[in-house]
This record gives sequence, structure tokens and C-alpha cells, in this order.
Amino acid sequence: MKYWLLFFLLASPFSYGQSENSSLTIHIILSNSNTIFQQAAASIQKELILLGDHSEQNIVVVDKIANMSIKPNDLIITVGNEAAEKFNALGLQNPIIYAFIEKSLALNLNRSRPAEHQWVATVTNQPIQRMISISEQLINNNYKNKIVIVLSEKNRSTLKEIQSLRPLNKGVLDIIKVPQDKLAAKIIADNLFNAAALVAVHDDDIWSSKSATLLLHQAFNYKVPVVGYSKKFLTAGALISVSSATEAIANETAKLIHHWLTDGAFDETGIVYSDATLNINKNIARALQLPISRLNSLRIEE
Amino acid sequence: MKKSVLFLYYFLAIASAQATEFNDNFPDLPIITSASRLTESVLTSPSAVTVIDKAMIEATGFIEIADILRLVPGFYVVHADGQTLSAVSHGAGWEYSNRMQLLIDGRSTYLSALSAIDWKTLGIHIEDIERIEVVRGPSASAYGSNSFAGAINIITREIELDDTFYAHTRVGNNGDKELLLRHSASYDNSHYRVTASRRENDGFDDFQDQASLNSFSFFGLVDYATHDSLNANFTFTNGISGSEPIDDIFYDRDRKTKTWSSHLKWSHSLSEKEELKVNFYHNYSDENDMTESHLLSEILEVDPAIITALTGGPDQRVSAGERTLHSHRTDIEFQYSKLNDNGMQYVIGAGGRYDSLASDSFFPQLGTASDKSFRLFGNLQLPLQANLTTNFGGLYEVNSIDEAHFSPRISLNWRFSEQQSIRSTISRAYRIPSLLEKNIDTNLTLSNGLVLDRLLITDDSVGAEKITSYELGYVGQASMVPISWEFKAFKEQYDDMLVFVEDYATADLINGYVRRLLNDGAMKVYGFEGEVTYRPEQNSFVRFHFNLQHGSAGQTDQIHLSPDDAKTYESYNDVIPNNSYGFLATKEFGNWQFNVGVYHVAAMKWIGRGDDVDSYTRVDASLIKHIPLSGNKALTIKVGAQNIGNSDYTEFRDDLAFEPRYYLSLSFTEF
Repeated sequence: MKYWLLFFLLASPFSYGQSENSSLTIHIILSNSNTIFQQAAASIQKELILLGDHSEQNIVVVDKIANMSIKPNDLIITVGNEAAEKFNALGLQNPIIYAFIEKSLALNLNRSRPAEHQWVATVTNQPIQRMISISEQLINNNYKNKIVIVLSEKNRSTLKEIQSLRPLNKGVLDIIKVPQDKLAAKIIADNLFNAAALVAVHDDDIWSSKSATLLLHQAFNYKVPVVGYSKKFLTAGALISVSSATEAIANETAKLIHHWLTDGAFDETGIVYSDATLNINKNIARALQLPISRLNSLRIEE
Repeated sequence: MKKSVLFLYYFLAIASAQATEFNDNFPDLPIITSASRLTESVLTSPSAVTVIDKAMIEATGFIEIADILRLVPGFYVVHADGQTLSAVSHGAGWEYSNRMQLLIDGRSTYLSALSAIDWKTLGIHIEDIERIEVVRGPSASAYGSNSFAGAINIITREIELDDTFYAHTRVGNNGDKELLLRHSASYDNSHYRVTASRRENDGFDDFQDQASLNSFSFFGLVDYATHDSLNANFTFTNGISGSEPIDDIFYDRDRKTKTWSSHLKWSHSLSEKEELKVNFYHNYSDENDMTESHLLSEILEVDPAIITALTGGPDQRVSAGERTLHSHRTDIEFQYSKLNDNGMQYVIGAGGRYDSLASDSFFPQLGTASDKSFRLFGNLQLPLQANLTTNFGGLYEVNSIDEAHFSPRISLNWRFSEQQSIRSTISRAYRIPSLLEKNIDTNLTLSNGLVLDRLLITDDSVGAEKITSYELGYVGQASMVPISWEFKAFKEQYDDMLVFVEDYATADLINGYVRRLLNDGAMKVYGFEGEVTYRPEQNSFVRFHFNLQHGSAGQTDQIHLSPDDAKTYESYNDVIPNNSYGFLATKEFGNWQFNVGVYHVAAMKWIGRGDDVDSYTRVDASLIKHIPLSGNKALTIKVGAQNIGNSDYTEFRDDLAFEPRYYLSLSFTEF
């Protein structure tokens, strides 16, 4: 199916190969030809149509950009981390939307770029504040009031972000910094005792496959619900996922494109978060003795 | 071009059909909470369950795994001698607890040879244990055969989370010495733990029960695919222990022990809601305590010629033993479990087992006895309404020893508040006689075949024991303070209990009777028991448990009494203690931890070699100091005392006083 989809995208009436004749060309650059990126691009197109925008886009896989003609004012939309990194390596100063990118990568890519460079990133992440907000609502008694976050010691940016958050309405935040040579699951046991939630935040050293497996295992042993940032956490045993749906990121991206086409500039810069999607694993809820009716009433508070 | 536009909308429709999530580089995570593990909610559990975790075990200061069961309401633990431990639920216990199932990571350790659990040769160390779940009541449908009066499920520490190196040594009075070395490591998706240990102790004072035991274990785990894991465990124990002389005739009795087990467990998550498990294990036990008497002429203090005249054979020594055997158990089980979105969950499975037993002490003439058994089992948890859940389960077992039996259990749980529920359960279970019970035929025989003394014999009619249990439980936890509780009122009716009866119809040169095994015992117990825990921190808590009960027990005592085949029946109500309680408190201050335990059991009678023992209250205490070292290393010093200041306490036999015991242990850990 993915080949059909790619064929369609490249052959659709919104794509064209003669962009050098246009003054406002939009290039959507995919990380690769996988279905996930094609669907992301299709979603952006769909959202643009819903916004009444029938502009034309040139869709290409990042490995083919050497064959492209890109003018200085063309709008670039990279889809996925790989597309962003490879395009960035070209050193072009086009206005750019890093779509479907991880926040840490977006910040890293633009650290060395000139301040006047127009960029905006519609990230796959959700703000940590939203995850903590959900976790706060899981606190329902006086002693299970601890929200645990595990971070690798070197992840200073996320630590800084957490420390800048508003104080909790109830409960306490227990941030565990894991030294590089230690396995998080081994040192977290005492912290998980009587904890209300374990919040998974983006940190590859902590929530990579092996470490994540053991952390989820420990959390379940201590009957602590896990709030994860991807729906994949749910199938692995987390209670709740606070994540970004493809459609929501596409919608934010389309709005940015639309504004650029209208005003010739972005109406937002830097990191743009999409609306959060909340999913609950009801079987885990039952195992943790949490009433599903209460979980269904959880709301994200900014 | 028109066709392309149609394709566009077709694909857009696919893209918008459902909210998808963008995950370009986040890998699939293995499923942690498989369907079978999700049955752990105590609010919907069909039985009363006591969970004892690692921190509690450390706080008790116990050094024997069986002793941990002193924390379980309604359980009584005894050191029948220095090397024989027994645990029994609600009473009618003897030195071999044969109405309980003991699983270690899913492997049954119930010995077909002894109809019992040998706590000294489990192949694991007390510090290997992550937690123990004790199901109080019949639970054959969940834990298989022999889960008659209860099931003890030992879960060892997860290998991946274990310390890299662990060295432990302990010395105490009564000649108590132990050295243990353990190493764990991981390579990619493979993990292993190797443990080797040696233990020695002198047993009870002035009693022939000293022992030294060596053990080795290997626990391996391979997560070879995201949704598959394979456990491979091996344990080995060998050693020698002194054994009490038999009837003051058979002296110098030593018991040589060699046991090993191998265990393979494959788990495959079909999805986050479905799991398939295959469990295979083999247990082997080889024990030898045969010894010889003095010459018959010396025992009877007569001239050897008289022995020849009386027996038709030469003056000679006679061989005897009580634990000489070779036993094998091979078991395989398949299990499928599934969760539904509406909360319904079920597990179904089938298994087969082969047991064999050869014994020169129990039935020397028979050679090797064997049994094949097959079982089908299932458990269903069904939410009836938002706050009402029913559980139904059963085990159907076919074997060559007795007729087929079905052991059912049904319960109803009403969750009347967010953290509290009431449970009512009715269950019935059968305990199939073991190979030993079915075949025992023990006697003292001279070299010319003359049977000098017929000791024990099994009746041809021997069949399964039966228990019918009713319970009303209340489980909950407070929302404002860290207090949790579990109470249950219960009635248990034991029928067809296997008991030894003096049979005067069977000729015997010495006693005039033989002790015949029959299904002629019964016991009825009513009671109320529970536990309350206040636990603000993992290592600081107070826990209280208790049992109050009343009951009656009795058995046929003698049969075929002349002249009219009369029989006598005797009541043994005192095999059921009226009350027991325990208290465990621990407090952590920085790197120090103080622990105190108090255990009380009312007066009760123990069967077998046991006596009528008085009530006792035992106080244990320990002090732990953790010393962090450089890097990932730490040292732990522990001083423990058991039964402080009470030298008169006996728990099983009047002549075996459990004198105060003290020890000092030192542990080095590299995380």
C-alpha cells in the first residue's frame, strides 16, 4: 500500500515538478518513503484543504533533495527527525517548519543557526506540564502523593524544564537522576513505594527498550500507574498515554503553512505543541484497583 | 487526473479514519503486564491472599524460608527437628506438611515421595525471594494439585534487577554457619544469576540432627523477542544430616540428601491481552538414611542360639530407615490467558505429570511405584456490574491412584467503595494420595524373609482427602493514612483425611497390630482471622495478624478389635489451636534499621512425632546497618536474635526446646 500512497502523493494534482516557475513553493520533505511519513504528509494536505488552502506542494523523500531546485524563499516542511537533520546539514536558510520532530532535536538543530532564521517546530512531544497535570489527578489520598520522574543525569534540558513548571496543586514531585552507569529500575524501588504515578518523559537513556521494560516491570510490582508519552506505553503496561496524534500535529503544521502563505511569515516561532490525546488502558486500571469512571473524567489542565 | 483526485480522497479517508499516533522511532515495548499477571487485584481476588515482600522478610530476621509463614494468619510453623520444618494451616499438622502447595516461580516443590514439602532442599536462598504470595484456602483451580488447604507462591528476584555480586556470611550459636556467593549479569537480552552456598548447624541441643548442606542454582532468562521470554532454572542441593535413632535401636543414623530440579518456562504474549505459557520441570530427590541395628542377640540380651531357634535364621543386624528413596517428578503444563475490554478475564490450561518413587525404607518389596496424571483447569473472572465481580474456577484431575476429581471454586466480590470490597467464596478441593501414601508397606524383615515387625501399611481403599471451604472476606485500605487490612471469617470441613489407624487384624510379632493408612479422619474449623498493616514507608511499618478459631477433629483410632471387629474413635480437638497472633515492626533511621517481631500460638497438639505443646510467645529482634562503600558497593551488617530470653519454649516436641538463637551476618553487595 505504501508504494501506492507514495505514487499518489508524488503524482497528485498538488505536487508538481516545475516549482522553479513559482514564487511561493512549498517543499514537503519526508524522512523516507515509509507509510508513516506518507500518512503524515497526507494529513497535512488534508488539513490545508480544510483550511480552504489549495496551494501546491512538492513532496519528496529527503534522499532525493539533491535533485531539487530550492529557492531562498521557498517554504520547507520536513517530516520526521531524519528529514530535519539531513535538510539542516545543507545549511540553507529557507523558512522551515520541522514537522513531526522531537523537541530536543529541533532545539539542537537551531542552536547554531542565525537568530533571524525563520523556523518553527511542530513537535511529537507533549509538554511535561500536561503529563504532570494528569498525574496530579491520580492523587486521591494523603500518603500516595508522590509523582516520580526518572531522568538520566545528563538530561539537563528536561530537568530545567521540569524545574520551571508551576508548583503542583497537590502532592510532591520526586525527580530521580540516574547516573550514566546505573540502571534506572535498580535504583527506583524505594521511590516507587506509595507513589501516585510514574511519569515517563522523553529520555532515551531511561525509556529505551531495555530500561523501559524494567521500569514498567518495577512500576507494576509496586502497583504504581505509569503515564507515558506514547500510545505504545499502553500496550506495554502503562495506565495512561498523553500523546500527540498525527492529525493534531498535521493540523498545527497546516495552520502554520496557511499563515505563511497568507502573511509571508509564521505566526508562531520555536516549539509548537499540538493538542494532546489521552488514552487509558482499562485492564491496567482494573489491576491497579483504579475506578475507570474516575479515569474517564481526567482532563488536561495547562 | 480525475482518477488521481479520487485516489487522493481515498487515501485521505484512510488517513483520517482513526486518530493515529506518529511514532517514527519509538520502538515496541515488551508487554510487562501479561494477562495472567493481571489477576492480582486483591479487591477482586477469589481467595484471601497474604503478600509478604522482600522488605518484610528482611525485617523478620528469619533465616529459614518456612519461618516466613509465621507472618500468615492461621499458619503455624515448627522446627520438628533441626532439619525438618513444617508449616500447617489451621491445625492437624505433623512434621511433614502435606496439605499445602509450594511453587517456586511456577515449579511445584511438593515431593511425591514424602507427600510433603522439604523446606531445606528447595534450592533457593531466603535472600533470593522477591515476595511470597500465600493463598489461604483451597485454590486447586489456580495453583494445581495439592493446593488443598493453601498455596504458597514464591517469586524470586528478577534476574535483571539483581545485584551484580553478592557475598554473604553468617555465624551464630548452635553451630550456625553460612556462606553464600551470588553473581548476576546481563548480555544483550540474556540474563543469568548463579548462586552457591554452604550451610551448617548443630540442630537442637542433645539431639542427633546436625547438618551441612551445599546448594547451587542457576536462573537464566532470555528475552529473545519483544513478546517472548524463556526462563531456564536449575537447582542442586546435597548434604548430610544427623537423624534421630529409631526406637532407640537404630543408632548412628545419617541422612544423605541429593536433590536437583530443572525448570523451563516459556511465555509468549500474543497481544497485550493474550498470553501463552508453557511450563516444564523435573524434580529429582535421592535420600538415604538406612542404618543397621545392633545384633538381635545384643538387643534382646540373649544367646545368639536363641535368636536362631526363634527366627530360623542366624543372629543378625536389621536394616531400617525412614527417608530412603529415589523420586522423580516430570510435569508439563500449557496455559492460555486472555483479558477482554469489559474486564472479563480467563485462563485455561492442561497439564500432565509423571511421578515415580522407589524406596527401601517405605516399600522395599515393591520396587518402583509410578503414577501418570492429567489435568484440565480454568478460571474465569467476570464483572457482573460495575462493582460486582464473580470468579469461577475448577481443576479436573485424572490419575492412576484414585478416581477422577473435580475441584471447583466460586466467589462473588462486591466493591462497595473505591478501596474496599467484600468477598464470599465457596470452594472444594481434593488431595490425591501420593505414591508414598498409596504404596506404603514398611516392615522389619530378617534375611530369611521373616517379617519381624509390620509397621505401616496402606489400605487398598485409600483415596483422596476432601476439603469444603466457606469464607466471607473483607479487604480494604484507608485513603487518608497508609493502612491496609484483610479479614476473613471461615468454615472449613475436612473429610476423608488420611490417618494411621491401629489394625489388630493384621498379624504382627511385636506389637500385635499394624498401623494402617485409611481415609478415616475428619476436622471442622470455624474462625476469624486477618491482618492490618500500617506502612508509611517501604522499610518502616507495623504489621499485626491474628487468628481466632474453634473446631473439632477426630479419627478412627483402632480397628478390628476382637472379638466383634469393634473400632474406637478418638477426638483430637486440640490439634486446632484456639488463637495465634503476630506483630512485626520495623523502622529505618538513615542507614540503620531496627526490627522486632512477636509471635504467639496457643497450646496445640502436633501429630506424628509431635506432642501436646503449651502456648508460647516468642520475641525476635534484629538490627541492620547499611554502610555505603565507594562506587556501587555496600556492606550490610545484621545482628539477629530469635526467641529472646525464653529457653523453655517448645513448638513441636516437649524434648526439643527452641533455645534463644543469635547470629551475626555480613553482606557485601555490588549493585
